[in-house]
Amino acid sequence: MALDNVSQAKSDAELITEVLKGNPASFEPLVERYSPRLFGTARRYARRESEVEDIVQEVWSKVFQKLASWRGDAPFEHWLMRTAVHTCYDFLRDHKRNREDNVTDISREEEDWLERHAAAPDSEPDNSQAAKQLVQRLLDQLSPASRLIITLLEIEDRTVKEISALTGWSVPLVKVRAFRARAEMRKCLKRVAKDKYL
Amino acid sequence: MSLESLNQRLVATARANPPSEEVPYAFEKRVMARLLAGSARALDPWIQLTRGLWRAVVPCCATAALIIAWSWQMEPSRFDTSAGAEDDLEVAVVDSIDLNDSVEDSW
Repeated sequence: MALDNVSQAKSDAELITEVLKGNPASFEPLVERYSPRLFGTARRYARRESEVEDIVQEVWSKVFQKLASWRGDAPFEHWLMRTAVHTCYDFLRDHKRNREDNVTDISREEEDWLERHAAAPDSEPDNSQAAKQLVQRLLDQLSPASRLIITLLEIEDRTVKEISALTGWSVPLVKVRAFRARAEMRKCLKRVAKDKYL
Repeated sequence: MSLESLNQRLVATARANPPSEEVPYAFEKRVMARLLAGSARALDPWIQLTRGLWRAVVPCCATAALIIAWSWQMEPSRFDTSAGAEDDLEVAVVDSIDLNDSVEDSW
């Protein structure tokens, strides 16, 4: 317990220096500190809990191997999140064939939700399972780049500059991909909502 | 219902329901065990040597195949050294005779 408190008090830079000096156990406080954030990020892109865990493990593995390349001029968290976003993007690209084939096969609950929305489009966002499933279904249909952009830009509400720093894409490329992603999203929505709702 | 309002509402729903940040039980321990096992494996000299040898297999085979292909392409006459060897032998014999002659002359 005392050891945990000491580890908590140490900064990221101090812990990393210790790891690089040959004490790999100093990496554990970093894993404890940032794993919740990584799990939150990974769960945006993967549904199965086993996949989420694999993503986070891969992120830590990459970070541990490349720890010497962390320069320390930017916070460790930024560097970690950049690695996490890259790993999630790789995961999306590797699993793009597993995306659901037909977005129009929506459940009865989702159809009901769409009907309720058609009746009252200005109502507050709700926490119903149907709405969450519909969002997930739509995101699953997007290409990996579009899904990443929509998640970062629309759902996490990040700026273009932040997305550029996280993904390593240039600012104009992020803007182009955001434009394409929104068009792709509209196309998917059109298929989901069908003509009868529009 | 417009597409834009549907889009906005779904995005708002997604924003309002961020995924859980719950970490599975003993996840840190598992990650550390994996990382430490991996780093120990990476430091083992025998494993390093085995990996290096396995990595060298493909380039060595490719180099051998290239040399074989190149040797097949070469003209056979360039490999026929019998004429050259004959000349060399003759020159060596004649030189030795001349050398003997000059030694005799000096006497």
